Amino acid sequence: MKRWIKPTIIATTCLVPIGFVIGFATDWSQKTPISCVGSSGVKPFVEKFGNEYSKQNKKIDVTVDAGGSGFGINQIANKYCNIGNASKNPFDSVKTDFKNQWTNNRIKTITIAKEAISIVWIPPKGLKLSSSQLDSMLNVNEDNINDLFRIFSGFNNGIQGSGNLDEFCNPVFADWEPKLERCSIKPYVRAGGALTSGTASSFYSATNLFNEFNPLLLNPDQINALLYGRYGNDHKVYDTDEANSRAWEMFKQNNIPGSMVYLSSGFVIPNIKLIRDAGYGIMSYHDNQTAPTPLIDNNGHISDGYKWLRPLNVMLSLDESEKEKDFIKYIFEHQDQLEKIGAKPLSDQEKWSMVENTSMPPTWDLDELFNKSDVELSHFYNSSWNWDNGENFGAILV
Amino acid sequence: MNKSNNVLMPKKKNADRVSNIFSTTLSWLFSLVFFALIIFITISSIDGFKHYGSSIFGSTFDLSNSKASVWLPLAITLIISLLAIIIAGPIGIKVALFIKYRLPKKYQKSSRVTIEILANIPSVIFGLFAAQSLGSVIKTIFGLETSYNVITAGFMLTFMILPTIVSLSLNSLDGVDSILISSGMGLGNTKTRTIYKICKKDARNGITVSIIIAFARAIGETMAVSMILQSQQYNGIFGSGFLGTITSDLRTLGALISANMFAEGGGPDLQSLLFAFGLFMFVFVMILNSIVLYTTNRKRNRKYTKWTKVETKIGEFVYFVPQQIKILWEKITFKSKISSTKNPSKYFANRIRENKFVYVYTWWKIFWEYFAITLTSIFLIWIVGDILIYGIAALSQGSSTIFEFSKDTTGQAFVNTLLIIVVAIGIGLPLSLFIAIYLNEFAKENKIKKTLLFFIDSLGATPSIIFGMFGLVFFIQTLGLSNNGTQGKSLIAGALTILIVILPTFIRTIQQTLQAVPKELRTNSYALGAGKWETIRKIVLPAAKQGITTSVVLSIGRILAETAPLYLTSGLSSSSGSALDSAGQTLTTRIYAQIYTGNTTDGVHIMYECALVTMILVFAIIVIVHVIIPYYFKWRLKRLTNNKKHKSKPLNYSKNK
Repeated sequence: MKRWIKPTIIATTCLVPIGFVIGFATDWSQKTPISCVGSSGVKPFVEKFGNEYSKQNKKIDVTVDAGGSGFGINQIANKYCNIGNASKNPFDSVKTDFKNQWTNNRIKTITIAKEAISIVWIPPKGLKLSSSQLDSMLNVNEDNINDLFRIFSGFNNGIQGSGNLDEFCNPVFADWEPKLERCSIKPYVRAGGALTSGTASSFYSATNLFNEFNPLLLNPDQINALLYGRYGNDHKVYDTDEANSRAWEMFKQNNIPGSMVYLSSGFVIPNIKLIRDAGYGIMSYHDNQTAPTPLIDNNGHISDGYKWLRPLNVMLSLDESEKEKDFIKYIFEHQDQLEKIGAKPLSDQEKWSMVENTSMPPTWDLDELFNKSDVELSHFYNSSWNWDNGENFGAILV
Repeated sequence: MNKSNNVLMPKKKNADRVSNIFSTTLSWLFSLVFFALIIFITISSIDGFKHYGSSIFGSTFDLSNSKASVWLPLAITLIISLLAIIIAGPIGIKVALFIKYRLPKKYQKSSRVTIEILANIPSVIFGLFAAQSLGSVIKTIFGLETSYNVITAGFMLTFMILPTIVSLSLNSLDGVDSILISSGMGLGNTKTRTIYKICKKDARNGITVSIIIAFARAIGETMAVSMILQSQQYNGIFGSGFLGTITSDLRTLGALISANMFAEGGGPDLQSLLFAFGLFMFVFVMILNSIVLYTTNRKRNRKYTKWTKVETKIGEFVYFVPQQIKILWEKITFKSKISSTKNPSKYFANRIRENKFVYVYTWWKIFWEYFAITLTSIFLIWIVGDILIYGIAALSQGSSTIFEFSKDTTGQAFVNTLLIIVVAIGIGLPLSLFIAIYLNEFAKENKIKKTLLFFIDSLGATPSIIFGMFGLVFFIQTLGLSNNGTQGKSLIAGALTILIVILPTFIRTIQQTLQAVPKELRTNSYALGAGKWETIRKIVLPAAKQGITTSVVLSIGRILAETAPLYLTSGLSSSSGSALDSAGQTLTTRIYAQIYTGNTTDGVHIMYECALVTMILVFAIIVIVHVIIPYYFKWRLKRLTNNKKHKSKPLNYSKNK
């Protein structure tokens, strides 16, 4: 080998990686990062807006990591991220573990949108109906909601109906009832219940939704099953991971007629073709005020009458710089995009509920959202407020 | 001459001293990292022990009720690992024996390379494959109700640990003296009987070690298993009996840690409990390592002859019935007029000629060898084919971003992966080299060295999610190693965390390479007046160059395969551009990130696209290790030989003349 070849090869071998590392050592465009961490349910929404916001503001870079609402609350409480994400009211977690941090760091929970909880179900074999027929065939209402929860708890105690699909059948489809009668429900639940899953927590929140019509008659075992994942063996339940995609993957792979799984609209609407192609139905919501309302309207958005909703919350410290606030304002200014990805924009009244508890003035500025932290707002409502009073951090959903 | 020696010697001594001190310091720094990790896990688990108390050692698993039995998830971990080892053990040994003794030499190398492809497939790809393809097949074959269950996870782990068993068993069989085969056959045994009764027995220690190491890997596996197993209703399902348990999707200990570390309702107590579970896994793996040490300790056999006798007695007791059956079978099938005790050689010769039933054993063994190799080949073709077909199909989809390098693209994940590899190897290589030099050249054969090696091996088998948590707390939350301080994530934090993950294996492989350099080379060098450091530098390292290069490439393979430590430190989300101080996806974390995606169809396409790119990289690494590097060294040797011939030409020339 010629004398110069060897040193050249060695130099190149060393210099190329060094140059590569130096070249990528830092972001030379000096972008300001905004890190968002938390609920996997909120992630797709914040991520979508984050990507667009980063494109429009070349000096900002929004990154979004999943890890559960609990992790999001923990991280923002300790200021380990710029924005925490949670698909539930963070009050209970804060009360237990982060009272001081929440107060001292002036943390504010802002609901950016609402998301629906839906139940996807697999029809029995031989039930050839159109997707719109399948969607209206089964519905959840004040008469059967208790049984739905009992079935999903795995404890039969107190079940009024058969525990089969026919129990949820819309009378319009009475001809099909014999087929549904022979198909028992196989519920897919989240492992650990509401304790470990935001979606499970939102599913259980329907107990409050129907409470005004029919006080729930669940026994402690059934409540514990839904809240803490202590599912019973009377009715076999299939437990899955927290993420919608994991629950869906297992549900679809097993493909057992009579299966039911609760999924959020942020997953169902973008994957609607997949659900339709598989021949699955989505239960309608019926609050006895109107006719049963399907989850999705003709525009592919969440129907107006569908009230099984949960908040999509972001949390930030009001002492932080303006970049986080600007990003959240950007989300509010582009609410029209929410519906395409399976969420519902907040009404002005709902937005105002995060500012003050008075009647909404004709005009107000989004900047007012950042005036008072969660704790300050609670004190503002009631000067003698303390943590034992309870509170709803975030918007009051109507 | 004396004068020059006097001048040189202190310099050499100084160099020896400096290199000794430097490598010793690095080794103890590494031990410090090990202790820091142990202390970190222990301290992190204190609150968990306090909150969950004695329930950790109880029999109820109910997190909401502050009851968290470690035994139930540990039992599932053991059931799955045992299922995997029961299938992979015999298949792996049979495949190793087939490759070693049945395959012609020219095909042996390519077979080993093929097995290594299986070994280097990232676990998250195994998870993807099991979730999308294997599960449905297992469901159909066993008539199960669900695809995601303990049996599917067991089969997935079977194929994940199979290459470990084959490779290590092959290494062990390589060490068997080839003369044993001819001697065995010379005594009248068939080839098959010689292989199984002599060679396999001689390699028994190594094969046992391969089984134990594979078992440890199965226990520590997290990511792949957590993509299949999703339930934690331990009490309810265990109550339904064994069948109910193995057809359930109960989580293993590793999967339980991974799934609950950031659970929606999980607070600091739950996180702390998971660290306590990590500590259990760590201790369990350390016990397995101790068994490996015990098994491989040849001195022990000499030292404790009484214990060896006990072992033999136990063996005789266990094999008493099978032995008697064999003798009875022999008596029924073969009646010889020649006495086996008076004239053994004639008896054996006669037996081979006359007793056709001897071949039943051979046919039986050969059948299973072919069965094992066929099954392994089918599986390899299946998984590689699955990824190739779906991966190539994914490239034509709208979601394909393989040649894009902006935010949230596969191209950027590829660049990020390269960055992490360059940094981790750039720091890891000199570090591992010096520690290996210390262990092999400077450290005396004493308890300190053994302890250090034991720690290195234990660290190598620790579940990688534990490293991830350590990296998150230390590099991000303590040192603030990101462009967003303690509020961000970064590729550099990921690279440093992955460095700790690869160091044990990196050190061990380099140390074994150095150990393989003949001692005579060192002795000769010292005899010629070279110092220790000079010998290492000029003799040992050049001789070990090929082995070191191989260990570098293998470490790159390990980096490519890791997911858990990276998603915690580098993040699941990508930044606008690739930079060491920014968050970013690697190829494997991009696969994992799709679990949280809104659009499942695109998510699956992206998963397969990344799996394809990762597989191509793995394949490239294997080609480099097994084709390019050996070819280069062979080529160099040839050149050197030619040069020598060329130099000796004048002599030939004069002769011809």
